[in-house]
Amino acid sequence: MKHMWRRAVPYLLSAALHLSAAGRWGGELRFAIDSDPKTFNPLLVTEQSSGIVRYLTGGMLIRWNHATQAMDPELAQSWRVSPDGREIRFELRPEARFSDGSPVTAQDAAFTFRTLLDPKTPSPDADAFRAGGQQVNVEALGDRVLLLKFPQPIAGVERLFGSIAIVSQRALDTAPDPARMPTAGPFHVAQYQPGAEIVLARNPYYWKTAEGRRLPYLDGVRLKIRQDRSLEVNSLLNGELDLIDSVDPKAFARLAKAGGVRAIDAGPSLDSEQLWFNQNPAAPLADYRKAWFHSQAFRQAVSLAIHRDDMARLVYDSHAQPAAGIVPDSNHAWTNPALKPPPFDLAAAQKLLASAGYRQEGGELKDPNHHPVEFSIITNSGSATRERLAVMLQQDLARIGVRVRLITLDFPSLIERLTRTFDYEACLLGMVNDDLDPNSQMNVWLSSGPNHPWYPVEKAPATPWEAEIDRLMLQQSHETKTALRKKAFDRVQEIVAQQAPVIFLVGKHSLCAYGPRVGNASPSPFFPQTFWNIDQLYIRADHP
Amino acid sequence: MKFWQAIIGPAVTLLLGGLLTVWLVRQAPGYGTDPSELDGRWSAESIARLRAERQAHQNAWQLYAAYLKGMAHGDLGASLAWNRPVAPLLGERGLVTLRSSGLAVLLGWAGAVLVALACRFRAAPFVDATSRGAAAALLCLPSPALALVLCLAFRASVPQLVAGAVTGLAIFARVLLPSSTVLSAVEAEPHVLQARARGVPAARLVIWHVFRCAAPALLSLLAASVPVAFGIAVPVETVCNLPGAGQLAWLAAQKRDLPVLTALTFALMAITLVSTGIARAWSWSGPELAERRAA
Amino acid sequence: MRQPAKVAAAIGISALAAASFGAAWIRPAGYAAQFREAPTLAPCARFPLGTDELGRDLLARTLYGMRLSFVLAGSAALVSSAIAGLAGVATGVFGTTFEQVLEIGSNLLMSLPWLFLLLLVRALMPLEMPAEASVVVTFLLLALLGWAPAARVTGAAARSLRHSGFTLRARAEGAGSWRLIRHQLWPNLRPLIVSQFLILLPGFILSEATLSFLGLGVGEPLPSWGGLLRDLEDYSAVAEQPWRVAPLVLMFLTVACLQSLASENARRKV
Repeated sequence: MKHMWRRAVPYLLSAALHLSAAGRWGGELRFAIDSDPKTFNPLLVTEQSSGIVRYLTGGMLIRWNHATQAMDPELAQSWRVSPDGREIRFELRPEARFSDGSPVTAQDAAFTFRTLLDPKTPSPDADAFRAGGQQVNVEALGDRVLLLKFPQPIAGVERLFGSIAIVSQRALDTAPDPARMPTAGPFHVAQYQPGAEIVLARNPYYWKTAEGRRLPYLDGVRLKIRQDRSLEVNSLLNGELDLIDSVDPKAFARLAKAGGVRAIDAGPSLDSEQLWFNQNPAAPLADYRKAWFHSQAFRQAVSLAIHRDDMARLVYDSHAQPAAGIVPDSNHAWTNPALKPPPFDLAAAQKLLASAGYRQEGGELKDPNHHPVEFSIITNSGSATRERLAVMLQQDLARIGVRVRLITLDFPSLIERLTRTFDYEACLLGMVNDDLDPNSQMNVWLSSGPNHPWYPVEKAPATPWEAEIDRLMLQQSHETKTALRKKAFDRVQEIVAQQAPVIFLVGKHSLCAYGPRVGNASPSPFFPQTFWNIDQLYIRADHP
Repeated sequence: MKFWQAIIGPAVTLLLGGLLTVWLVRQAPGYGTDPSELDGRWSAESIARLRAERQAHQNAWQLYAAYLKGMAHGDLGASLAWNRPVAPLLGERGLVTLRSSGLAVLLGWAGAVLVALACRFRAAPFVDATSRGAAAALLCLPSPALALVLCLAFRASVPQLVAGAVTGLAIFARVLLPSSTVLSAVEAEPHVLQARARGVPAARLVIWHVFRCAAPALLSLLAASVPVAFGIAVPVETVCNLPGAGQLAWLAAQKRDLPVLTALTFALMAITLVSTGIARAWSWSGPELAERRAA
Repeated sequence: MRQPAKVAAAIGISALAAASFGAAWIRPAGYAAQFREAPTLAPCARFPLGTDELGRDLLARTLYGMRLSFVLAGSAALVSSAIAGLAGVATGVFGTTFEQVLEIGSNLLMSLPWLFLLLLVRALMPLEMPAEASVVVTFLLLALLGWAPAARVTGAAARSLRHSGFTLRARAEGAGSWRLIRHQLWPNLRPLIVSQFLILLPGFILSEATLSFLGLGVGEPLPSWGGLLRDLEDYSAVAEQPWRVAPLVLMFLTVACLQSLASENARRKV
């Protein structure tokens, strides 16, 4: 009974929000994106700016609701997954239309998926659909029914549809000129000034209604292209912008003190900061160094010597918390409640090192072969928070006699070392996630995955525990029963916590802010934080 | 010799400069990488395909030859980062920088030269001390920090003016001291002393004798200010979010966007060569004329 | 009037140099120690310039940073100015041919994206290389690449000198190259070279701050003036902690004192 109420609360809250959503029609919302979109073709989105435009203009069959953490019907009024998980069937709304008035049909949806799944289409979304095998069958049954058949079941397949915007052949023909491209979402591109801004206008044929009128409440959205975020806070305070996502913790403090804006700590996000050691045997490192990084005791000792609470307090102004592992608490469905963040315990760290044959000599840690333990940590330059984390790591590890050199690199140089030359010892980087399902991390946790941090693209699992992770990840990816999936993924989390191939440092909170003009804002910890319910947002009457 | 100076020299500079740019970018660490490679959704096959596309031309010579061939047909290539043809991209952004910083360079240079002239010939020690102090302060203050302060003061509503102001002030600071030094050296020239002894009025002395003789060095300061101004525009336009050539250069460098960087280098070299040519043309005539007039 | 200013400038520079090189005695805890219980403190008896976000002593970081920047940026500026001076002198002696070569070289240096060379050199440096060594290499490269604008100015001045009356008279009297350099070119180019040094010095300090965005600056925990000045871009922090402009004030004093000393010398020689 208690369980039922807990599950009901988000729905009730959402319903309450919808009931209270009687908004004001008209007005323009303004916020910033950090670069020009690389493309306006929603099927080729690879970076955030294009993703934001797709989110605001794209009509999806179903979309993930941030409040309920469940899928909502959108262009599809209903859908059904077959019991064996190999088939999903959508029934489209008869009233769904593109912004040029043409109806959204099953043929458009089928065209979308066939184009997406064409091997010539370079799309990370397509790769997720191909996880169940290359031959995905897409069929339009009449004007309103779309059927997709997968060779293998894909667990949690519905969530994949939340990022696929339905397009028509016409849309793709006009994609180079975004202002002419018809879209099925709440907005379409009205104007694009490269380097300056993108103006979105409401889709007059958007399917969703409120108070007998077609949503969205807003007449438009103005996306200002601002590569540098230094002035964003000021722009919010003086009313040039209406909302900011991913606010820096120091700027958040300033916003929280300022009057007139709402600064929200929406709780733990899916993003975390991590440290890992290079365990690639092909790395151009001395054998004795590789031996350190391959040692579970060494990795665990390093983890125990890190003061995560200080990091959360000093670098993030307590808008972060020590990370326990892969999945943060905010991911209710998949977090392993048995896992806790490693404690800060220098004595335990030294004991572990001693058990592995390491010795302290004159304040310096030496390995069993008397090599002084010192290594470099690479990270990306230009991020003040990450550089501070790295400096704290340096001091923490100095306490166990480990000398750390910090090397900051610009992103291309960093990527080259991580993915091509493997010329690095340890790396400090963040993991950014906008998908709660473990399947979105297959390429990270599978040993053959290209983003397997410590040793990408292994021909065969290098260790028994990696082989076990492979088995469990593949098992859960095709398992249709959620409880069994959870059990398998819980075990993956336990193995990663024990073996510490990746040392999780802190889980960052989602910080955002919005101005007094914005009505119906309901910030979420997940991307996009402040405008996930863009069709419900409105401009308040007292701040036109 | 003048044919060499006018045509061959600049042509060699441009060709060599283009080749060096392509080589430098090609050899730089991270060339051919894409941040989306760290996106956990890509499969191994897709990432391999992404890498193959970005490293289609391995060799710097081949890249440069292909670029020159395209340039001969008016095609400056396509930007890897912006997914657009480079020529219109550079045109849009170059115009923004020219509007914000072009006049600023001239005003900054002219302001510094005038202040230096006034201090040398009107014996204004207060102005001299204040202007030197201001120049020293401007040299020490990071341009992005100054740009931020001005953006805050003007609510970032006129980023072009802010960028121009910062550029102008930075050029003023860099030109004031050397121009003061040049003018004080020219002051001691025999023909200037002769003109002074003959009672030539101060204004005529300054314009027809001092300035003409100092002009080659002063104009070379102006010519040298052009690439310096571009260097200042890079962080300032980034901070002010002004979509000019400076911001384009910074982003292109971070993304190793070879077509954009090559085109930008050619453009900057061309402007530098033109400004140097003007400075040199003056230097052929200026000092001799000044001496003849003094005589 | 001029002598007290020069004395004050000399005392100022000496005091700044003494403070920077005596940092270990003035602030024995050092620049890297993190007093995590005392982050972002205002100036107090224990921390005269307060602490940063990680509880590091800002006075210690300013003094050690001053030393690093003095030595490295100063050396780089000296090298660049020396190269510019040599280029100027060579233009005055060897004439138009050398001038053409210098012009091509300086045009290339001023226009090309040399930061990629810095990135390349950085990539070639081994991971074990100490942070101090890598930053020395960066400043050396800056010095070797940064002389072009100064060389253009000295070259143009040297061209004027080459055609000036007293130089022509000296040549007519049989003066050789070395005599021309010693008595005509060098005395007249030296003030210009000094003025270029005074521009290059803060320029290199600030370049290090910009290069740190690409990972080419001074690595943590080593402090530098450039890194401390970069913090000024966080204007809200500066508004709340105005003492963080101390490195800017010190840098300004350094440049102003050097300018004062240099300009006195320039007036005497011309």
